[in-house]
Amino acid sequence: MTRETWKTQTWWSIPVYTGDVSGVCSALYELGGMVVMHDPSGCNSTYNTHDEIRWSHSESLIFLSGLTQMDAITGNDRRLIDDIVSAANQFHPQFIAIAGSPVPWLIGTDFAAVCARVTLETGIPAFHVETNAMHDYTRGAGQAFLKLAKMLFEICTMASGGKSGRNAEKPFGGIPGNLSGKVRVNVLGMTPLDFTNPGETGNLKKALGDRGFEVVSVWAMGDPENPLPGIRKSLQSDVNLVVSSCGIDTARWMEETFGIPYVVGIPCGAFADVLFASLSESARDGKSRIPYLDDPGPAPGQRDKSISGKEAAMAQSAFAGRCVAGETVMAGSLAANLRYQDGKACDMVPLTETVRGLIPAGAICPKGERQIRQVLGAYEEVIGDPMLRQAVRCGCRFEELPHFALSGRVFLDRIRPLI
Amino acid sequence: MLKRITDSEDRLFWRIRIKDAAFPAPFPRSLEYNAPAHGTWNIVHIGMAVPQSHSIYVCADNCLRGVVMTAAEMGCLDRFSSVTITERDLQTDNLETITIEGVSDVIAQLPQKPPVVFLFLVCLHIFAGCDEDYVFRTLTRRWPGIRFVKAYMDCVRQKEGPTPDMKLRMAEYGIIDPLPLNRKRVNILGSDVRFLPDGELVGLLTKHGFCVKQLPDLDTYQSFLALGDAAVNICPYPNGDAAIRALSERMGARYLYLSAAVSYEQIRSQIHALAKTCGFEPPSEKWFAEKERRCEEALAQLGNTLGSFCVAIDYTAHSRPLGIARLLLLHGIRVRCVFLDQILEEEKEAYEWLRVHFPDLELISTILPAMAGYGRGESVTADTDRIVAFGQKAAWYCQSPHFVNLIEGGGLWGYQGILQLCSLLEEASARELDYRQQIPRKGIGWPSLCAIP
Repeated sequence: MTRETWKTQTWWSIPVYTGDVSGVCSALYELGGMVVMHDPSGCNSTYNTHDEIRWSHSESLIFLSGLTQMDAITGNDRRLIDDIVSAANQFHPQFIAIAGSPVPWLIGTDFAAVCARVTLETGIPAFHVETNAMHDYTRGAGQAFLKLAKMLFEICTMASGGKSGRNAEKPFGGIPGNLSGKVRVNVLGMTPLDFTNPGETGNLKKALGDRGFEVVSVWAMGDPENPLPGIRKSLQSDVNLVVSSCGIDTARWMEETFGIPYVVGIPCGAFADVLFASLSESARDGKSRIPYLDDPGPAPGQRDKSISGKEAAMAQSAFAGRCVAGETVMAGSLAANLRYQDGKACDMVPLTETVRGLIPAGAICPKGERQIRQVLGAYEEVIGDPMLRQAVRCGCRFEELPHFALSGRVFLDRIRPLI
Repeated sequence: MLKRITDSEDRLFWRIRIKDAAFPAPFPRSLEYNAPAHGTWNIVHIGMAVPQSHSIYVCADNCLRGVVMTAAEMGCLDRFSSVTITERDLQTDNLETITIEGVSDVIAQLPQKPPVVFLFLVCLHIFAGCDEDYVFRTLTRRWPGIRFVKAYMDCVRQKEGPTPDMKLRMAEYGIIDPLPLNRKRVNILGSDVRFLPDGELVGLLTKHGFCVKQLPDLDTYQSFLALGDAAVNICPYPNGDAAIRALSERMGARYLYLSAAVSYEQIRSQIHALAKTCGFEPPSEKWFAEKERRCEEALAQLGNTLGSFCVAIDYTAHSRPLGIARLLLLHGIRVRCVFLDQILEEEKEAYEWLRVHFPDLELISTILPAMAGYGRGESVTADTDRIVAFGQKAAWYCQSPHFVNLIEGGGLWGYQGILQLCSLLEEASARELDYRQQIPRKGIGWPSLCAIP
């Protein structure tokens, strides 16, 4: 192990983002399924205390397996299966998702077999979300949405005629036909971890509706009724709108499998017009777009692929002077909005894990507190969660953008709507 | 909003009459649900109770999230650091390198070096076979001015041995080195709450000239180390028993486990034991009789005040929930149910008594999956507005605004404890609290710098 490696894993004043297991629970919370965290203890309390704002007022079947040392050592998966089957027979969920934690990952628990057995004994579809607690929520939620999509649309992958990508046939011939003539949109990647303000789903639907789009489904929060029926209709859409990096894996799979293009971004401020234009264009030409990377020109200075120590600070010193730091799509969209608003450069500094294909070429993705300090310390103006304030340099203009997935309940009452 | 998923016919096996309940585990093991009631202390709170200590957790992101946010909400991030584990670390070695180098890196960043560091190892260290002795030897050599204390967040072992909470208390008091014993010094340790001077436990000791120290009174690391001079150590809380017993053995001090009893007989016995161990004359029979008379008056008054109210008791409020149920039932006060998931050995006698005399008393699990259907406007009892909930989980599951916000017995001990118990229940019946705003806050007694959704 090199010195540089472990230096990206230490934190002395900034908390870590919500973890992958909580991300799974958050993504699937409202869908009428049952989520089981295969973990000894702690994940459940962590999730419902710090990573979930709905726990006190909305019921969801989210449980912990209570894995014991003896079960782990002896490989006793029977108890896990029996407990899940028992609870499933009690609650009749629409699906069962099982998320792993460090010990099951280390001992190589055969989750595929566990899920198969659970499905066999209950008749309820069960799937494993590949988490091991060592990643952030964007990975967990992203995998959860993808596994859900694969479960829901498995039969449709056969109906797509065995073709993929843009050549894929719309399953069932795109039924029912687009009678309204409007561009039909799925929203992917929406969870309270990023969109905490209770009005976000309504705001987004209204914004899309006002621009003449028809919202087919929102994956997966804020629908007054159980959103799963709406989600089942997702393949009727013309384009997917990916509002956080939690939705990108599903968007890519739907593009690859069903030929549905995607557009990435949050419709905020002046950037909303650009995003909506991209949606229409993608629905028309079938090409996917990430408009926050396009205009008005790439963010200055984001050229160096790897960073370490002083190099980072030196590279950043050539930057625009301001940045938005946080979840990848959020940072990209808000930075683009600022560029459109005043025509001045603004960088995005992604602090969450899911970045592949979502950032400018050579963008800097700091890992660990030391790199975050190095990168943010180069800016004169930083927009980010208040927990990052201590990472900026003296004299820096810091604008608070509380983010539930980082600061949890600490700044909950200061969280503003993004849309 | 969301539709209710559970329905009434599904809610089986989560409540049981005490006559049908097995000891010590009245409910089967199953998947676990977690209610949004978080007032009890966790290992972050317990570790930080040692003045000037710094806690470092070496664990995976998701496991870290709960403890780091606990520290953030306490306003104590400056006493907390962390090292995250990745898959690569488990391929490199048995986590020794990341633990040693990560902890060293964190310490190097701290503006002031702490005198003592609680280093929390996790399930992965155990399963990977980490050489813990090598880790601590190396760190001690590298940072000679710092005392490293081995602590665990090893949840995978907690059902088959001491919990991380118990082990942390053991580690915490393991720091204290032997000092010359002072026969007029007594410690009350092992609990997270303060025992008040007007109670019999502290009151009798101070009356007989003993200097009594408790952890919440200490504000420096040196004052913590000075606890080693007590001739007598008293532990009033089950989770601290092993730790304070071990401390006493190392110090050569006498030890008393005086868990907060709620029957007159047991209180008498405990006070006699206290007097004998500390070497003072026990109070007279008249003194005991007078104390018991006052308790009887208070319990009678409580019965009148509660009227048609019933009481629901949960184990997080007091380590003797069945003892309290017996005390109240004996005095004509209706107890609707007791929330617990296991019965402690020290409650066995109350359990046996209740099975015979109140066999229909309901025990209700707090963690079985069916409990997901309660709270959020749905009560386990029909008459929510006539329930006084003793404890946070009871408040949540009964949806009662009449609740006593207490953990770990809240320092109630002896006859004075019974008087305070009556007073708290009376108060709760007379006023309403917004439990939805109170119970999701972590660690009663610590700052709670957060908003509640």
